Amino acid sequence: MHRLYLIPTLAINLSIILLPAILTIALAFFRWDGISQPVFVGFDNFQALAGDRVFWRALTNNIIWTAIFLTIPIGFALLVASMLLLISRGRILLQVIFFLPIIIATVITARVWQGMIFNPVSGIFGWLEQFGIHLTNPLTKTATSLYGVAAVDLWHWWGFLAVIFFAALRQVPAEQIEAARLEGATFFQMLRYVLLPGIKSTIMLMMIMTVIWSFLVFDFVFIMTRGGPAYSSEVLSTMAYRLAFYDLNVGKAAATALVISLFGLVATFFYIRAQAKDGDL
Amino acid sequence: MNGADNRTTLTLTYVVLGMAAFITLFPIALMLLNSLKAAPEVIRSPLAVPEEIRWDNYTRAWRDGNFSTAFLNSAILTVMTIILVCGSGSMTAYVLARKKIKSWRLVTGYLLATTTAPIQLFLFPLYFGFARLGLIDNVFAVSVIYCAIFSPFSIMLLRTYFLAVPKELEEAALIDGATHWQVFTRVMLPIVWPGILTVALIVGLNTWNEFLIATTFLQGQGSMTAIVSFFLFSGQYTTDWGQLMAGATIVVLPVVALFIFLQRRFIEGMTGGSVKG
Amino acid sequence: MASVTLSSVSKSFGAVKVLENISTEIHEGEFVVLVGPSGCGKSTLLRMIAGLEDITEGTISIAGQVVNDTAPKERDIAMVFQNYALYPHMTVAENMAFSMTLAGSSKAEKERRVREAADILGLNDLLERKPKALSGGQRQRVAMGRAIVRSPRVFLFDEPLSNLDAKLRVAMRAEIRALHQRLKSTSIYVTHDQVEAMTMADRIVVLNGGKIEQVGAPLKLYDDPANTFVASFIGSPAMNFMEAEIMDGDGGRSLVLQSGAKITAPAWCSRPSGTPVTIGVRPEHFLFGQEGVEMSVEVVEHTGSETHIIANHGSQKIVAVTNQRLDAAYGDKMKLGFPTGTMLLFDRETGERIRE
Ligand SMILES: Nc1ncnc2c1ncn2[C@@H]1O[C@H](COP(=O)(O)OP(=O)(O)OP(=O)(O)O)[C@@H](O)[C@H]1O
Ligand SMILES: [Mg+2]
Repeated sequence: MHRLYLIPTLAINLSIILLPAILTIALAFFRWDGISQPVFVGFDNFQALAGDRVFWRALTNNIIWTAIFLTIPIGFALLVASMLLLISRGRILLQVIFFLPIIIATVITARVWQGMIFNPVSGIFGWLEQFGIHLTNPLTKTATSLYGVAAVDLWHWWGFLAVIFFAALRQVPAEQIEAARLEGATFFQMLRYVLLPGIKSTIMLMMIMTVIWSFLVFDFVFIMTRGGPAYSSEVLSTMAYRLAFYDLNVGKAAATALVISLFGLVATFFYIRAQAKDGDL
Repeated sequence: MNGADNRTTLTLTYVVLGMAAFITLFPIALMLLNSLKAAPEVIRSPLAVPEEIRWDNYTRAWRDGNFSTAFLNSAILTVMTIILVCGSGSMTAYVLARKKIKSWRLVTGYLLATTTAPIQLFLFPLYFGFARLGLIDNVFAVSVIYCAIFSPFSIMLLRTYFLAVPKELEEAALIDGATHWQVFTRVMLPIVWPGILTVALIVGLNTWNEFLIATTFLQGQGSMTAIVSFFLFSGQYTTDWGQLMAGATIVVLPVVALFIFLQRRFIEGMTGGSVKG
Repeated sequence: MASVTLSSVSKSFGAVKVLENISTEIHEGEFVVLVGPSGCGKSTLLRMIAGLEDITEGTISIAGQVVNDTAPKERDIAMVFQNYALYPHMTVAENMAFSMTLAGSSKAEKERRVREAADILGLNDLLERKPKALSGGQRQRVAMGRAIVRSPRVFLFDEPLSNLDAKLRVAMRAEIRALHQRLKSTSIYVTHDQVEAMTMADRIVVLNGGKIEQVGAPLKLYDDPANTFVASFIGSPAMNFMEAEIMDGDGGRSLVLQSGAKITAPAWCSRPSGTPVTIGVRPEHFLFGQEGVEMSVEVVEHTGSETHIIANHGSQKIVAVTNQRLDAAYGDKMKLGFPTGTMLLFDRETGERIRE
């Protein structure tokens, strides 16, 4: 009887996600432009990828991205979250402020940063020119484009993490904190020996999610640089998108998608394990 | 823990937190400030107070961004997605939370796995399939895609709400003469209502803000969402940053207003699944 | 109103057998208490009667009809849960009327029945409140009201009083009893508290480890327990047990305690000399006087109406109760006489009673 309750979810999920996902796996072994008859080509698409410098650039960029997001925002968010624990006034207001960026659409955030900050004419960078400070728009140079995009995503992302960590920190049992206080721990000792160990599982979970999301990153890159200039900020997902919809090389796009999924899969494995440990499975 | 160990620590803490708040608010403030300025004024200084407040930036942005249609599309898409996710998701969450079926473990594992599935893994066949079926530029078809994407995490969140309901309530209802469906609709759903509202809010936010699917499937003039419309319009008018920031403000305003109003529920819902005790 | 018949009922959760071959009959209008230690399967049995758990083997009949495959709602029963299971989103009145709402009863009919039940339970002022705004005792009453409104054939109670404080528990105990006198409906009441069982039941079913140990009226179980389990479970303070051996001697039969002390054996005791037995003596049956076995006093407790004496005889701990006010202190010696008439003997191997 209760099996019927699952029908809507499963019907939608299977037809939108599972079936196309299986087709993607199949398509990776075909040459297809999206219109004509697909042609089976074996591992050609993967070989083409292996010989494609843009692919390696994109993969490297994804790895750099992962490294950035595993360190900077998590570290900063932990610092801010524990500081929130320290203060007694303004917590709620600060939480709301820190949370704001994550609810603003990526397109909006991207355009505000492009126009109001990076832009040499209308932005802060241009304004600083008056004072003899030369800052070039990072998005227009191959050496800095990826970091320019990452900076915007960092602004968008870290506050959310801070609020999550703060929520987790508040669940650390008060007795543990009291006990540490009675033993005369300083704030940093407390952080090191009580608070951080207390939210270890949350930090782990966020790190796993960071790895997953880092290989999925699309919006900011696509909106701000489209992977340019000269593919310098290309990541796997923008590359796959370009291959499919601009180059109409759907087979190679599918192969790229599989590479993305492969990285995701490893992280997903850990993600499910982390969830299962908490009794969800 | 309340209160710092000493005055210096406390001062330092407020300085760091204040700076973090400043960094966060600064771009948003720039957006609001410059949305009221004429284009030349923006170029002269993005930080200056507007000499003359240009409300017409907003009317022009509304017109050029085709926001009448786009907002309607976004609203329909958002409402449809919320209905689909909450409707199908609450049934699934109930069955999984209560282990009503033998294969609950398998289904839960599958759904957890799809929470993290990259969109690119299914995007391309989906697009060409939808194209063949004539579903491109169809807001309702896209809401089904959103439902598939947002359901897994919604189900996991709703599940925790169902888990918190004592089993005896269901049993009492069964004894009181309820059918299984009535147990679900008349007892369980009203009790987990706060959870459903939370999910609706998050799904609504994500749908309103979504970019990748929307820009791929909804490119026609008549079917664009506010986000896609802003994206295209901001690509065309890159000289008039005043008008552009006005457009940006128009798109974020409903979201931010709702957030300020219901921040508690937003924050709890969005962080809830991630905080492991 | 109806009788409930269990015949050879068994229940397994997977490989674990939690109830084995339970057979008993609950008569029409009777108030039967299922009692036993935690985990013995009381709730499971009750839930099987309610239709909330499948029956692995055997049959359950209500009013002579087998209900094994009947859904809970068709069994015409009502159940009061330990945590009350009130619907948090409904008012007290809606909670009580929910079964009638589902059945499509008219508004007037619902109002009438709810009012009747509310009158009986004194809930009239609370009808518009939500369960959250009620005290534990009030919630308990609402849960009862929800059952009464339905006027079911059988009432089932699963430890309905265990979440209340001691004083309220005693009051509600009497109230449920009075309610039963008034409604005369067949009731099955689960508890692990033997005092509740003794004070409320027409008959008690003692369960242990998934099996029935004994069925009978409260005083019957108290005076005439079938085995050491029932003897020790019923009664507070519990019955004293001492290991002894039957011995024939010059002065007739006697029971020799492990310390070597001799007690006169009951005349009816016909087991051969040398049989190992367990002696059971209720605390209030000891005879205080010059005769008897010497004890060393450990603790003396005065409750006002009674004196409880905890004493040692060798390594054996004895609890004795008397309504005299005895003056004794730690280390005092005292002689306790064993009552030949009320003393019980049990087989030391099986724990079964040795009868006349
Ligand atoms: N759904 C279940 N699955 C597996 N075992 C169960 C289940 N429900 C109960 N049991 C087991 O069956 C046995 C009897 O449980 P039951 O709840 O009937 O005990 P009880 O006598 O009501 O105890 P208590 O006084 O603690 O309520 C217990 O050992 C319990 O662990
Ligand atoms: Mg129980």
